Amino acid sequence: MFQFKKIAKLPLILIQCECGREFLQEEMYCCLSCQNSMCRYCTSNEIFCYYCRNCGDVQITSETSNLTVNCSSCFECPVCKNVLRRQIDTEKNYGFTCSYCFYTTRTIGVTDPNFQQVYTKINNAYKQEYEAEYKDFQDQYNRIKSIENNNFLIKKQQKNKHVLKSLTQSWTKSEALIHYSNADIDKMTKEKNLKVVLQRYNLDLNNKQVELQDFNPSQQSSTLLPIPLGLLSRKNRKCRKCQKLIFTLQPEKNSKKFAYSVQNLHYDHAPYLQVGKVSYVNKEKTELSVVIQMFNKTKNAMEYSFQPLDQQILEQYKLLTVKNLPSPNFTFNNDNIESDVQQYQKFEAILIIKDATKIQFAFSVSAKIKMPMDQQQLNYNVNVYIGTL
Amino acid sequence: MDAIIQYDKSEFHETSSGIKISKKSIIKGTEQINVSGRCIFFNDVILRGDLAKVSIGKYLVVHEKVTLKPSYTYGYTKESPTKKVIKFLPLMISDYVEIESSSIIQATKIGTCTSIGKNCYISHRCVIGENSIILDDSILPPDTVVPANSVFGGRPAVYIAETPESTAIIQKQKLINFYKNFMPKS
Repeated sequence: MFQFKKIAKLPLILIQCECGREFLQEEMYCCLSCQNSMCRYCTSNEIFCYYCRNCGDVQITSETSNLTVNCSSCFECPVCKNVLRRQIDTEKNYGFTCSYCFYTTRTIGVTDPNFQQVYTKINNAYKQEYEAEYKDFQDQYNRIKSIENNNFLIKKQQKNKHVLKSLTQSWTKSEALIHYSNADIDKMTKEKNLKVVLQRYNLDLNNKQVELQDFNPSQQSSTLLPIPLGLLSRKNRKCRKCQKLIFTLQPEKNSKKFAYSVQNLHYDHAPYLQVGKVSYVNKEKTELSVVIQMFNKTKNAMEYSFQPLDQQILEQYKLLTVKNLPSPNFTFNNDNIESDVQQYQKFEAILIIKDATKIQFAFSVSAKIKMPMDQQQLNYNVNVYIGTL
Repeated sequence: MDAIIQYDKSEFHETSSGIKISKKSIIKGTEQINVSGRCIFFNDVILRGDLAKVSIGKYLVVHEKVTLKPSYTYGYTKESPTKKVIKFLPLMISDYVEIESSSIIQATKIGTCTSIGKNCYISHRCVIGENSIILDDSILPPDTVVPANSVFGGRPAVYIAETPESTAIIQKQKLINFYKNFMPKS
């Protein structure tokens, strides 16, 4: 998932989740039953539906039993990964072309005056190419399963591992599968499928960076088949601890759009912080003053208080000490919802700089929301990055 | 803290509905252009309203050297029922959209709360959904459909990631603050 922290400009205010990761205030979620604000990694996803990014066809998981992984009517260019579009020849034969590179299905011979026949031709071509390999793999898988299910041989296997070797030596293409059990084979297939998906989009998990493709179209025609377009998914979010829903989707009537029926963002239940003025106090430039503005962007009145962090945490993360944190509780009454005038309060934090190249300080907040039924409370830590001045 | 951008009043036109257009921009066919209000058009922006209708929402920010041009198809018309002729399609840009510098846009529809990066080329008949991001230096081939809540990038542009649920809030705040901080020199 995309993270706005990468684009955001300094000075920044980020909220630290319990897991240690930092996100913008708008990107955090909150679970009111746990009274905790959490990041996307501390929530679990539940797939609500699959949809095609080109034609918009939707398959809701609860309604349909036969779910497919690929769209039945959309294809991807095997050369540049662009979505293909329909084309009609001068001879009135239908086919697919890529509008970016010079790939057409005419070079493969997949054209037909009846457009539905084009789909069947592509599907048949796939079956012929992969049928033989798929059969071999299935046969080996079934043989290994039958051997492992046999109890007598399992006991022997535990004592003498070479028994399996002797039985499977006569098979072709089975040397790699001799030493693996059923669970290992499942793992290998999953990894293989992952690698295919990752290679398609040039994602490198180790560096956690995305390499964008820069493809130069050439006039050489390719003989590859068009790839069926993979479906994307829309998800609901749940808290991992209490399993309550944080975000739920609802399809809109007579449209392919979805709206959120339940949404709990940290932004809706906590004061919104913004960095105001940043300036040096001394001529020697050892003290810095930062003005922070707080807004109440929720629909309810709010009470909150600040607590300074322990010295251990300050030393561990090399944070600067803060002076002038407001100690008494503030109350934010949101009676002026109708008018455009936003109520806000500000406090000035004075920092003592100790040979720091990057200026960063932190404090913790507890906010009490005065909702009609209960008082809900959120506790969270705030990190402020100012950068170098 | 967003930086305050000051401009010379002599270099910008300002309308009663809050639209700020640079005098160095080229805007044609103003009769067919419909803007809601509170938009900013920087220097060297080309907006072709003479080809087809252009409807623009509020809080649009168009940076330098951007061309906004309606897209076209080949089709039959009443005037020429037998021969195919170029037909220009209307361009629709929704609210809270930001278009960075040096990009060329020939899409049919751009949804709400989207951001388009620098040096992008968005080809004919593209449809960009709401809350989506198009990264810098990307090329969208003709007829591409960018679904809602997605990130596209590369050459040709390909689906990369999903945007978080709060992109609408982030984008609205960013553009409202940008408009507030875009002030004339006193």
